[in-house]
Amino acid sequence: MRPHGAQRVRSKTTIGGVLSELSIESTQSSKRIPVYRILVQWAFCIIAVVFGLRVAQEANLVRVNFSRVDEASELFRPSSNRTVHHYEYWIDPKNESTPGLLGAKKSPRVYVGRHPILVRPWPHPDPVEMVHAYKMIARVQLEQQRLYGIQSWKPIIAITPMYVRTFQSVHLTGLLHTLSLVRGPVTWIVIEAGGASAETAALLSQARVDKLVHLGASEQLPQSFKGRRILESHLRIEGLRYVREHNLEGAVVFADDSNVYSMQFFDAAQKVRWVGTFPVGILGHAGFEEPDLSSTLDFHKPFDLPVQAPTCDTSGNIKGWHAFGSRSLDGEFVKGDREEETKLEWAGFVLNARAVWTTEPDRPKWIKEWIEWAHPEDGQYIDLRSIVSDETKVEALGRCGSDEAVLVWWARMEARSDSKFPSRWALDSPLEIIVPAKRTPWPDRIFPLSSPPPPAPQTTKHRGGNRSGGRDGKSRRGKRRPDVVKSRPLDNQRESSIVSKGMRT
Amino acid sequence: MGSFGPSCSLGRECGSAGLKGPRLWNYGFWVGVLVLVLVCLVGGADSEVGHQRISGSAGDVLEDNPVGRLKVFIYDLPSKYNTDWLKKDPRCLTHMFAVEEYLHDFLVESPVRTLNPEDADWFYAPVYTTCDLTPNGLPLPFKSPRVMRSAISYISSHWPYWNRTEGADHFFVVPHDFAACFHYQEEKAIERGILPLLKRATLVQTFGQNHHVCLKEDSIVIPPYAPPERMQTRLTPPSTPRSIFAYFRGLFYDTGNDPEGGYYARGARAAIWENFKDNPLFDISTNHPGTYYEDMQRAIFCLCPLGWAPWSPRLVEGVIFGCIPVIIADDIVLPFADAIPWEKIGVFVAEKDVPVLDRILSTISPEDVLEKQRLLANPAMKQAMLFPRPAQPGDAFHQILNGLARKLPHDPSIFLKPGQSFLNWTEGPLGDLKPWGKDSL
Repeated sequence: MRPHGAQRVRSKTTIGGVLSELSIESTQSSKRIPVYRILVQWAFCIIAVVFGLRVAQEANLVRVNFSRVDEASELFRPSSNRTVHHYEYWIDPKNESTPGLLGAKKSPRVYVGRHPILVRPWPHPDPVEMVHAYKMIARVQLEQQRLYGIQSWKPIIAITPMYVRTFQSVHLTGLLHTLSLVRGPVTWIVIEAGGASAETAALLSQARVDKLVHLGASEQLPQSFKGRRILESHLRIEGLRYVREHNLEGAVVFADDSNVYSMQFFDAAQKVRWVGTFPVGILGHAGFEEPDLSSTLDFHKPFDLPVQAPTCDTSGNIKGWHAFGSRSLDGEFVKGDREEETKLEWAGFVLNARAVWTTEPDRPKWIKEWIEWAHPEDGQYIDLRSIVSDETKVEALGRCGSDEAVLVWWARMEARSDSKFPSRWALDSPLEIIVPAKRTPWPDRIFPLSSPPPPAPQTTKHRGGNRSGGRDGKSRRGKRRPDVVKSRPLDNQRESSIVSKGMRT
Repeated sequence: MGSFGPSCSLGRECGSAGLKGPRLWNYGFWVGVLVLVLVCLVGGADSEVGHQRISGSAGDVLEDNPVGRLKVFIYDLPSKYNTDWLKKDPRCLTHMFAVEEYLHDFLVESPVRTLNPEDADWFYAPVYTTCDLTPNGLPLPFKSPRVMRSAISYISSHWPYWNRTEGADHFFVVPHDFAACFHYQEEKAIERGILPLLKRATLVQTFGQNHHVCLKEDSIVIPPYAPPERMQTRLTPPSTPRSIFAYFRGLFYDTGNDPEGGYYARGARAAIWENFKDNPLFDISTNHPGTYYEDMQRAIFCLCPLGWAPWSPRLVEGVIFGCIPVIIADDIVLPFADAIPWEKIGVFVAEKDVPVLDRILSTISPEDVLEKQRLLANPAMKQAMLFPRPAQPGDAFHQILNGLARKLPHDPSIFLKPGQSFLNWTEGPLGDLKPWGKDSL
C-alpha cells in the first residue's frame, strides 16, 4: 500500500499487478518508461506462459501415451489381483534378430528376423472382457435391427399341442425360451391332450410372453404315432378356433414343442400375407439308422437332408411340394406308407390369423371357409393345405430351393412314458439300478446286439467349420476326429428308465 | 484517478496518463491471452493421439473424377513384355497380382489416355513383371529385374521422354510382395533394394511399410486384387445379426518355410493362436470353410495380421463385407492412405500388444464400433477397394489416377538439364545386368 496519493491499482499478487505498480511508480518517479524494460517484461511473461503450458502438455502427453503404449502394465495393475505381469517369452535358441539388414534407412523399429512369440501368463478368456464384448455385440445387433430389420412387427401367435411326458420339460424349455426371445408381442396358445395339467402349467409359468393361453382337450394321446399325429392336428384346429373366436391378430406359427427354431424364422414369418410356407428339416430318426430304412430313402433325391419344402418354378411360385414322410421310432410308416408321407407337417406353414376369422371381408376367395376344412370330427389327419383351394397361392417365405437355409427343424425324440426325467442338471447319487420299463407308449424295438454299431454320422457345427483340423494351429490335414454319435436308442432308453429310489426328484 | 504528471512519453494522451500504465498492461494482458490461446491450439493439436497425416476424409477425395485432370501416354511395348506372358500362363488374370494386367486394359480405354506424348503428364510402360508363375501359381521374381531393365532401355532408346526426366514422370505397376525390390524373401529384398533404374519413377504397389527400403516416399499403395464378382455374389442381407466377435481364417504357423516359428509374421499370428485359441470370442482357425464370405458378414471384427508381407486381401474383404479390420502389422501403410482415413475405419494393434488383443477389442466403446461400421457401409469406401471390370467411377483404378493427379503439376526440376544425370545404368547386382528378351521369355 502506498501512502502516496497516487492511484491505487488493485494490487493482487499477479505479475500484472506488481508490474503495474512498478510502472506506476516509474511513471511517478521518472518521465520515461524504458522500452527495453517493458519488452523484457513482456518477453518473460510470454515465456512463462508458454513454458508452463508446454510443461503441462508434456505431462498430458505422458499420461495419455502411457495409457496407450504401456497398456499391459496399466491394464493389469488396478483391476485384477494378479500381481506379476510380464509377457512370457519363448526365447529361441538361434540368433534372435539381425537388425543390421535394414540398410541405411532411419532407425527401424521393425526388424527382419526371428521374433519371440508373446504369450501372456494366463492365456484364457477373462470374464470381465467377455461381458464387455457381449454388450458390444448386443448393441451392434440392436443397431442392425434398427437399421435393416423389419420395422413394423406383426404379433406372433404360436399354437402348440402338448401332452405330459418325460421329455416334456426338455422340449418345452427350448420352445419357451425361443418364444421369449422373439421381438414383439407373442401370444402362446397351448392345447394339452388329456386336460390342462399342473405340470404343464408350472412349466409354462416361466414363459415371458405377452399372453399365454392354456387349453385342455379331453382326449388322451393315443399310443400309435399315427394316431398321435392325427390328434395333434386336431389340437391345432382347436387352437385356431380360439384365434377365430377371439379375433386375434398376427401371424400364426405352429410351434410344436420339440421343434428347434432359428430366430430368423420369426423374421421371415413376418412377410406372410395369407398363407406361407417354409422348408422344414425333418429329423425323425432320433439319431440312428437302420438297414431297412435305407432302401426306402431313395425317393429323397435331390435333397441330401430330410427337408419338407415347396418346390418352385422359376418365377417363385409354388408348383409342388417335397414331402418327407415322418419317420418314427415305430415301424408303421417305414414300410412305405406313401399316403401318410404326402401329408405335410404343420410346422412348415405360417398363417395370417385373419384367414380363420369369422368375418373377414379382405380374405381372398381361395381361402376356404372354416367349416369347409376344419372338421376334426372325421378322425382324419388334417393337412393345413386344405385351407386353400388353390395351392399355387401359397407364398414361399423361405426362398424356395433345396439349398436355402432351413430355419426350423422338426424332431421327435421321446423317452418311455414311465421313465423319470431328472429335475435338475446334476444327479447327486449315481444310478444304482437300471431296469427296463414295462409300460411304454411306443412299441419296443430290440436291436440285436450282435449287429455292428451304426455308422457315426458326421455332425457339422454351424460356425467356422471343423476346428479339430486346426487344433494346434498347424496346417495338418487328415487328422480329424469324427464325432461319434453318443446316443443309440437302446442305451438311451435304458439310461432314462431308472428306479425312483436312489435319485432325488 | 489521480494525475501522474503532465508529461509522458509512451503515448500521446497525457491527461489521463494514469491510465497509461493500466492500459498498456491491458494490452499486454490481451496479448498474453492471445499467445496463450494460440499455444493452446497448436499444442493441443499436437497432443491429440493417433493423428496421422490423413488429409482427405472418406468421401471427399474418393469421389474425385480424374478425367480432365491428367493425361497418360501408354508406351507401345513389344508383346514380349506383356501379352506374351499372358498367353503363356493365363492364371495371371486371376491371382492377387492381376492388377498389372487390368490397369493396362483400363488405361488403354480410358479417357485419360492420350495418343500424343507431348501432351502427356504421365507415361506408363505396361510390363508384366509378376506373370512368371511356378506350377503352383506363385510368381517368381527372378527374371523381373532384367525384364524391367530391358523395357526401360527399350523405352529410353525409342522415345525421348525417359531421358528427358530419367523417369520422374513415368509410373510402373509392381504389385508383387516387396514391390520393386523383386524378391519374395524380405531379407533378400532389402539387400537388393528398389531397382536402381526406378529410383525416380512413381511406383504403384501393394506393399507398404514405413521405414522400409522397398517403399519409396511417393509410391501409391493400392489394395491387392480380389475378384469383385466373387464377393458380390455372396452378400447376405444386412439384417443378419453379427454374432461373431472376431474372425480369422488362415495360417498361424508356416511349417513349410518356418518350422520353428517366430519368423513368419514376426510371430504375431502365432501369438494370436497361442493366446486366443480357446477364447469363444475369437473364431480363428486354419481351415477353409465354404462359408468364408458369409462368416465375415456375421463378424464384427476381422483380424488382418501380417503374413510374410504386411499387406493382405483380408483388408479388402473386410471392407466389402462391413467387418471392421483389425490391422496387426507394425508400420504398415494402407492403400490410398491419403484419401482414406484408416484410423477412423479400422483398429490398429501393435504386434507387441497381441496378447491383450481381447482387452483392446472389448474395451472399444460401442459407439465407436457403430461409427466405424457406418464408415464401412459407405459405398464409396467399398468401391475404392475393388477393381471391377468394366471400371466404375470411384473404384480403385480411379483412385490410382486420382493419386497420380494429386502429384501434378510436376516440379520443373525433374526435367534434366543438359549433362545432368541421376541414374547409373550399371548399378545393381551383376545378375540383373544381363540383357533379356532376345531369346526366350
